[in-house]
Amino acid sequence: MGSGYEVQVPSRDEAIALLWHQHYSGLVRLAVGLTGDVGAAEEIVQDAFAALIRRWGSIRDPSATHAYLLRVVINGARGRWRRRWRGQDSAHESVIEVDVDARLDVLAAMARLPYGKRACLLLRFYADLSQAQVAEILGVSVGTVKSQTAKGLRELAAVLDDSRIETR
Amino acid sequence: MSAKGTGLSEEDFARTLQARLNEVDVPVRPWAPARQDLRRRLRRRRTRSAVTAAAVTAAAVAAALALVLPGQAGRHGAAVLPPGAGGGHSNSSAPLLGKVSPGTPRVTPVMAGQSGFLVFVTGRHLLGPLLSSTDIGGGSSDWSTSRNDAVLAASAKGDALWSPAVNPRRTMVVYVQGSAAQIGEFSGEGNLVISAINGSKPRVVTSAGTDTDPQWSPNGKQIAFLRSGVIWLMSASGSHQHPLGFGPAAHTLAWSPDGRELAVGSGDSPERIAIINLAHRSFWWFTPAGRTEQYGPAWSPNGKELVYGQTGPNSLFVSNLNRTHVRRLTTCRPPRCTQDVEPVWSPDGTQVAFVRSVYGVQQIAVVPAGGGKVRLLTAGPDQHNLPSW
Repeated sequence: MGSGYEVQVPSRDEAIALLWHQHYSGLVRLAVGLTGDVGAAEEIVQDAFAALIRRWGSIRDPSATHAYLLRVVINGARGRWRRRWRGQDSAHESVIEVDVDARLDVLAAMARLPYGKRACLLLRFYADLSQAQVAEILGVSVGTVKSQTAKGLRELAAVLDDSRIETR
Repeated sequence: MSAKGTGLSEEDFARTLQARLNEVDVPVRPWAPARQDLRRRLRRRRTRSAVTAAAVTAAAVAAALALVLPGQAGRHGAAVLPPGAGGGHSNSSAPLLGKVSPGTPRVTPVMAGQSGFLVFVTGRHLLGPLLSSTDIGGGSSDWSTSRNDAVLAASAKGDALWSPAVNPRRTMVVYVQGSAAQIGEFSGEGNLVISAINGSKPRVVTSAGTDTDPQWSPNGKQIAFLRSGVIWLMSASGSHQHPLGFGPAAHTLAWSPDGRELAVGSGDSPERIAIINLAHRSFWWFTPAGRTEQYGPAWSPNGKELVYGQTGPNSLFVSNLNRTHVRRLTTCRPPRCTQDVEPVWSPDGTQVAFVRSVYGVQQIAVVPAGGGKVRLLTAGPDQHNLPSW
């Protein structure tokens, strides 16, 4: 509208379409890391996009949308994980083949970590975020992120060692 | 990859993790169909919001059970059935629109008054490809003749009206006015308008453009509404607007019958129910965080219990406020029944009306509030939605 030099602000739909193209598969993979289940992961990410549409008006900073999606995915996956561990999820096969062979599966090992540490590791090393960004998404201090990451890596090493010993 | 005692190197771990996750076969989901699915999800939530509105206003006054029958169209879109009447189906009027997505209520009555007075959104399907506006109408309960209804508020071109709520004394109505695209395709957001019950003296009282789900307090002195997931309060005239200061995102809200509390469907995922004490400005989680979502809370008329739905069993539950007595009200067994949603307590407290998906078709059902046999009030291929006592 008006002069031809106005900045074109994409509509909500266009902006969300772009986010979908950019982040959908990455977010699903992140959620797979959290839940070990592709079906559940897709569901969680789609819910996150629905939440984003609903909250669109309140998100002032366009660069915050990815962080928002990550936060919703992290929160959404927390519930799914519990369900899976309680053995109530029969709809989808796990992508993690625990104890199948001696091959070290990093996801199977991560599955044994507490949720917070797993989320920390995935955000730091899969989503490639800084400690400060991870802290903001998880709503914890940078110090907590540092210690959770370090402890997580240590525990992971122990799990991987254990599984190697067990399967020998 | 692992080094005993020293932990993993960050670089090694990052590389391994990325390689492993990138192996995972993620189905390709193009945006266009995904968008349709997201819209469906949002509509489902919006439907829940509208129902809680109905539940609260209906708690004060009541007569008949009003059902939305999407098979009917336009002004004839709402029908009033006595509870227990079977099959309330459209008999005559042909749909105004050729193409309507299944499961979408075409008309939304939001209040059944003592004499069957009903305010509803009429005439224009919100998602219809051909039409772009909605009007708000009101009138007597005799929808079969539908001669007494009047257009309380007509929308301007490109605008839509949505989510009307009548105050307990039935003198005023508040509704959402916004662009048809915004209201129809997404979350029913717009600006709030307050007018007299006959539609005169409409005043636009908010300007954020993202307001939705206005609801009168039981004493009629306040209106609660949602602005981008934040609960706001204002006076009946639209003054003294202020956010409630409730932290988590809210999707639905329901005033307790005494007006002291709000039950809120909250949280991004999973959704659960919080109860906010307005005097103390405090809230507590009515349902625990966990693997299931709880949705659509509605208060019992005495304010002592809440009925809500829960994913997983996809059934309805009733709980007292301190959750010492939680009981399952319905049992939804697939494949016949896939979900029970939108519970609404009858004003005399004896029954709960809700929507049950029977082989994928939404039907209105009633169950005794104390538990018992579920009775379907509707049948047939049409989707039925939004019961209101």
